[in-house]
Amino acid sequence: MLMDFIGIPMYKLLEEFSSNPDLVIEYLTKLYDRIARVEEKVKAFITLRSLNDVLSEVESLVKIKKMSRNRMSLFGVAIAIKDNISTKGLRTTCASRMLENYVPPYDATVIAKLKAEGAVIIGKTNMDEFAMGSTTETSAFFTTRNPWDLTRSPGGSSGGSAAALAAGETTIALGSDTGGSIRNPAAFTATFGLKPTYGLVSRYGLIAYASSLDQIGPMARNTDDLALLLNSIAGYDHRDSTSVNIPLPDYYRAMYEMYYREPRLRIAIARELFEYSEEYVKNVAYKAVDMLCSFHECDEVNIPYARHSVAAYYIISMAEASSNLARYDGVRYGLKVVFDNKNWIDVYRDVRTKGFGYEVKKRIALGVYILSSGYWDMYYLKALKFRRMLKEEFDKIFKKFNAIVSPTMPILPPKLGELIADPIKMYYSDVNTVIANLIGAPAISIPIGFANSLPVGLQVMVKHFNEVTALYLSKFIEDKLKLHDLTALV
Amino acid sequence: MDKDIIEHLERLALVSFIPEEREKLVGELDKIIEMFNLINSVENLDKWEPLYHVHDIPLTLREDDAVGERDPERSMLKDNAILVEGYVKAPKTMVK
Repeated sequence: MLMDFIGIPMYKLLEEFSSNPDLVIEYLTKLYDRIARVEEKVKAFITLRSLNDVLSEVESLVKIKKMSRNRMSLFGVAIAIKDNISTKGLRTTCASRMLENYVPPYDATVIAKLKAEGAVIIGKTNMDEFAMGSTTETSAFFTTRNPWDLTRSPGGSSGGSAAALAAGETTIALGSDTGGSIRNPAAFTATFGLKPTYGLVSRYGLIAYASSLDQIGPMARNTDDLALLLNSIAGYDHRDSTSVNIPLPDYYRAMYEMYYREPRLRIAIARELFEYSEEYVKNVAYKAVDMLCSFHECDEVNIPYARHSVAAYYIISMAEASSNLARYDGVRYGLKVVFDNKNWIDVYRDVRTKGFGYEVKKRIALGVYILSSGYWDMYYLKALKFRRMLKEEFDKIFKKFNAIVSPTMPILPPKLGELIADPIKMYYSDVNTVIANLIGAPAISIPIGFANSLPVGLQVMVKHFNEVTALYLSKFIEDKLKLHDLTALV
Repeated sequence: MDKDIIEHLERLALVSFIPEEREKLVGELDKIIEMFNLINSVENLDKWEPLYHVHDIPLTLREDDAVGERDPERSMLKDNAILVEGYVKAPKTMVK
């Protein structure tokens, strides 16, 4: 029997729970002990469910498990959910004053799937407000700290989910990724994060930031758990018109089939994305690449227009954000202001000014500007054309290579306040991650080492719907470097 | 000039920035626009069709779902909206 459940991978927990479902109670109790010890320092959760609530739900889950022998592929496993994914009856704030008291009347598709598989939602994690940021510091409520160094950021925007994983406060987590928001915090916290192919996971119930780029994805402490979680959330959903209806593999099984077969792959080393990285990051990343290339066949490739991709990403995401966030008028839900004798325009401006923080207001304002007459064709249309060109360029690379690798982030986890004080630096720190969102490709971040005691991640990008290849390479690296299931000493 | 642009942005976007935010935005705006302008330095962009969706699939309309749950009391709105005889009260749209 596992005496201490903290830091135990999900796949091992599932084996234990399968033979003894009652162990789930002990596991969750110990997990909440851990949370009580570290949460005050890490501050990963905006809303944490009480242990009593969780246990009363689990008791009935255990009964169902015992009676029906329902397989429930995530039975009893604690999961933390980014606070922009709708959870019925559980406050969902998007880390914004605008939705501070919003309780969704429905579950996002991914949440319904997780519940059907027996996962236990323990709480909603902190994030940048409406996912607009790279450090979790634009949250309207508080700043989450990196468990590896509490004076530093855990990255963002899914920083709460990543910090909870690294601090041993949860076993698995969900994040969302618009320009790197899963991979960035995964890299900064020595955890694993996957942005799936656009359309693989339903966005129904994900509170929109930039709809053509947003994607929900799994976050975990090892590759196996990432694959198992992806199995549970992937799949066509008629409620999301951008969801793609194709047959899907069992990611866990397919990843292991590949792992045992161990094919040699052709891997592209993204030259510019290494060059833009800090020396510390580069050194760690090149060591991982050397290991990878001692078995696989590698070659350097030029990544065309990498820095231009950042411009295209921010143009498109701000334009889409200005449209998506126009719904918050304070009339039916969200922040309310007194509007007795004021006209609609004044009330609308008042609600938005009081409900949104600086970064969100800035992105809405710039988005509206980009879409305004005269600038639409100068910026927005050009960015869309650039997006087509970029996708075609990468299609060519993927004809020759199975995967493209680079450091996930060009920098080490920044000190709190450092990056947010220089937004241009913050925007350019997304240089390695935004490409996958612009072209819709899957990309994974894998822990590969530490520099100055701070985590460094390697990004593996593959072509559309080739998540199995990304998982195989993640497993390959994990196997060689043994950097998995790491828990920071908080 | 920057002050004019910020006022223009506020009017377009229907948001207001407090004085400290305005000052911050003045410091950032040029650099952000400079970043946006990078896109115009890419040659021959006009030969490409704009990409609105990363998959070449037709846009599908979902089938109508029969309503499973009804909410005649409009309970979803009761915590926030002002309900008058079952209608949601909104601000005035006509100004005298």
